[in-house]
Amino acid sequence: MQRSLRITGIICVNQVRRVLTDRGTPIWLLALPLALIGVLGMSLQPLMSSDFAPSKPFHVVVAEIPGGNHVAVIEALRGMERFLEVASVADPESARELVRHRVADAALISSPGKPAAVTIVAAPGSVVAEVLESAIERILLEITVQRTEGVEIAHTQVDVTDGAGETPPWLRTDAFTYYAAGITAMFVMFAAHAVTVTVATDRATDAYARLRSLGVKPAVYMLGGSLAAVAVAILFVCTVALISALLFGVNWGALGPWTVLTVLGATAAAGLSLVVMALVPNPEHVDSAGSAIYNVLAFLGGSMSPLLVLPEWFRRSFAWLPNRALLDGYLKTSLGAAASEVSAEATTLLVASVALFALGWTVWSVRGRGEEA
Amino acid sequence: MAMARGGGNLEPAATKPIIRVEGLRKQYGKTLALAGVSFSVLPGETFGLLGPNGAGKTTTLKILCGLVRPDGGDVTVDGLSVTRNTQAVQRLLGVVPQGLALYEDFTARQNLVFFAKLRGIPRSERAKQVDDILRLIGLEEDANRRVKGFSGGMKRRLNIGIGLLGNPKVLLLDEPTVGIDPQSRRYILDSVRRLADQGVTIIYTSHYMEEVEYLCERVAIIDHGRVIAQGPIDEVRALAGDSVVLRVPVANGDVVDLDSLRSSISVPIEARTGELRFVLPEGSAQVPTVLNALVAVGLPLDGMRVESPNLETVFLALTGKALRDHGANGGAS
Repeated sequence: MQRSLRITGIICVNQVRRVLTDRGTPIWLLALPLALIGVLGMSLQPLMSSDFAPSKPFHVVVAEIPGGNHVAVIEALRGMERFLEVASVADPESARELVRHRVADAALISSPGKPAAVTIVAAPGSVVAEVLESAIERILLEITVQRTEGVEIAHTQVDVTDGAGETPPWLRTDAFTYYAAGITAMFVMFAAHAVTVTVATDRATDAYARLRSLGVKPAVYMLGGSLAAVAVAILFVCTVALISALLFGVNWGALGPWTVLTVLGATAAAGLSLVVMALVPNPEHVDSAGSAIYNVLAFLGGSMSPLLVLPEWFRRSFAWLPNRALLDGYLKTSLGAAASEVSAEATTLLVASVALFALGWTVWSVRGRGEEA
Repeated sequence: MAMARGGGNLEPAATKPIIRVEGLRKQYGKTLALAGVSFSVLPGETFGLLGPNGAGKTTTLKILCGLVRPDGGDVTVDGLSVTRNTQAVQRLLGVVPQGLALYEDFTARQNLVFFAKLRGIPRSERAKQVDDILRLIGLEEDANRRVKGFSGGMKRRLNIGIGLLGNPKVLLLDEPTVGIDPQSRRYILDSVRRLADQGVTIIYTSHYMEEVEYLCERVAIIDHGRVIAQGPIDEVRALAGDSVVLRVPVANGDVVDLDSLRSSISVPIEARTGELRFVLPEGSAQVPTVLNALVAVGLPLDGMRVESPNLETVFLALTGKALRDHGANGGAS
């Protein structure tokens, strides 16, 4: 037992060292994620920043429909003088015409009935549309968004609450914080994967055979490799968190809940990389297979496109993914959440870690059965 | 009588073998890798396992060092069964796999230190042993360079050096000279000889019969998972009977139509870099026939050499095929 623990430690340290001494590591696991945080944060900051203001207020026309339940919204918007210059028009069609002819930047049309609904007419993806959406979402109304570029194109239902009546963290954060969390949740998988690639390299060459001939049991080898994956992933998160705080002023929140999320997120990432390695029979294909899977997961988990621009069904469908849970958890901690407030995300990560390690270990053991002594 | 044709397991009676391989069988799916391999190795002996690619040499070694479980049969090393006392046997062995089992981003010293730790060499002895091995394999001046920058020969030497950690009683060398330059090859062969002189028992697998002839006292020839001949080299060589090898140089640019040649003379022909080799089962009497055939296909003759049979000739004589796949080269086509 003592010998096995000693060998596990030696294997773990060796795998960590191999990743750290690889000359590609600073590029793929440091420069690239930081560059992505910087570029994505800067480009989306205008839309996600709480202190954003245009050079001159946007001209917004409001069509007053008799019986429309819009008074509270219109009053609130009139109060946003730095952003909006609100004028009234006679009917919805006049409001749309003004937008089509670029006389107004956007139009608001309220609909009668309950719950209160407001239609935004504006160019798709325009800043004014985002400002209006964001402002109305903050008023916690169920709204209908209609964007137009000359022609009306769509109606979209936007649920601005997270189901519990609270505004979700991804609507309350700035772009740098969002992408620091998102890119970290994405690249933590690549960090763990870097160790998996070294393990796969051992298996593709005769290094694994040599280790086995020195009495290293397969279970000990895999345990050492998995611990190394967790260690590299944690090291990666710590480094990116520190540098992003210094470079972009990202606030990661309290250390306690952040540490819990980081350890569990790294463990889930290591479990996932074990599954990838176990499922891909050819060690030479582990690297490319892993990269493809992690990129898809990153997209589904909101690391690439911000969750606020993704449809509700999409956000709900993939909320169970470990990288999404890590993103949500980090965003909550950045907003000052305590450990108890990230318990749902921590539980998701814990369950994912256990399930992924169990699956990876089982598949790997079954595959190796009968071939090894 | 220590020589046997076929799978018999005869050994010198006076000395107790340190390794006994008995009736090893192994099947991978539908492929039969070993079909009852048996041989034994004496303490301090350099024993050659010779055979073409896929003959079963590597599988035999993998079973020997506890990496693969045999379907039948067993191996004992120093009286310990490898299937029942795997870890105890592994402590007696130094293994040099066929592939380069190294970390290329580490230095030579870092590689040795890592494997020394796994081998359980105490910290107090580790540095000295690593230095000794670096000296033995001629890499002391490159000890702190990354392996990535090493030549193929240097990597092979380090690969062997790692197998020497812990002063193993038995060293298993699996094709240790594959893909390296002649100078490094010579260095490795001389190093293996020095180890043998120090009393290390060595099993050396190769499909280069000249290496086996240079290093080994006894040999087993394997083909299709069976031992087809084994014993002291001279006695195994005698299995070739009256055969001789005729070597004819082929200048660069000369084109030989091997198909025509094979149709005109019914003896095994190998095309090697710069020469053609003919195995003549009836001895020197067949030389004129071959030379006439060469003239007939238009090859300018610029000398020839007749050699006594070697292990390759034995293999050809016993199986009717060459140990190595050479393809057409040396101007042959």
